[in-house]
Amino acid sequence: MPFPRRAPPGKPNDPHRSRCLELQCRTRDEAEALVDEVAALLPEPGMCRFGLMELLLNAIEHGNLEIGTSLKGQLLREHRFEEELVTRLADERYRARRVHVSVVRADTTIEIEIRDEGPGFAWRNALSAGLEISESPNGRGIALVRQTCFPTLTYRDPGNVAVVTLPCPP
Amino acid sequence: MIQVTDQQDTVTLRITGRFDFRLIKDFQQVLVKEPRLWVVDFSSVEYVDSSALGMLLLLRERVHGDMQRVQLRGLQGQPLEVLHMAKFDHMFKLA
Repeated sequence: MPFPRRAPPGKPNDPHRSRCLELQCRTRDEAEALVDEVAALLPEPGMCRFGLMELLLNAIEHGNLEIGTSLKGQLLREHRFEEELVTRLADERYRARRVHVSVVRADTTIEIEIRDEGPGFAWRNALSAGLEISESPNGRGIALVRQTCFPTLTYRDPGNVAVVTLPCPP
Repeated sequence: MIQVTDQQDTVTLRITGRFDFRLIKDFQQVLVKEPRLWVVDFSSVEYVDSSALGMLLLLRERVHGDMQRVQLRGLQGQPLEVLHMAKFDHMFKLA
């Protein structure tokens, strides 16, 4: 699929940021379709797919639906996580929230921004955590993403915007 | 997709395609079984996400951390890379 030639909002005259894709999703099914579309544009679609999906699931579950890491662990152990997701997706406090993804191609890089509509989180702690041996059923996604595919992963305050920059040959 | 075989005190979970969040419900339904040995066959798995890692750790909790009672077989490609990165070789028997 060719990279769409569409100027990002607010930067119509910048020739170095002249190609942009903007998408959004609300559910995990929508996220999967979005990731398949975006990953096909990236240098290593396989591992990029893994990283993008992890970041989108974080944005949906922890960001928009505000299911914290320890609550998710508890729900998984009690086999109630799927049920809670369905409940929160229908809850009027969360149901209008979307995850917004933009992909901007510059001369030699591709920047991917994933923004949720939640309150953010303590992202600096999460980024500094390594992949330790852990028996917890969740909570290792960000470290895995950084080590396997997106070493440049960072967030913008208050933690509801994940940013990944990938090298891309001109 | 998970195909479950239960014989001679061994439950084998043969997973095909993507081992990801879509399988959480099916996987949890299987966890009610109480075999002596669990085998998870990855030979037809092409992709895992962190939900898959979580499911494996719930299985590990089910056997109270006894590494002799869970075998992960047929790992290759992206699943092997992700499991190694997550240091699962310290928590599971990778056959």
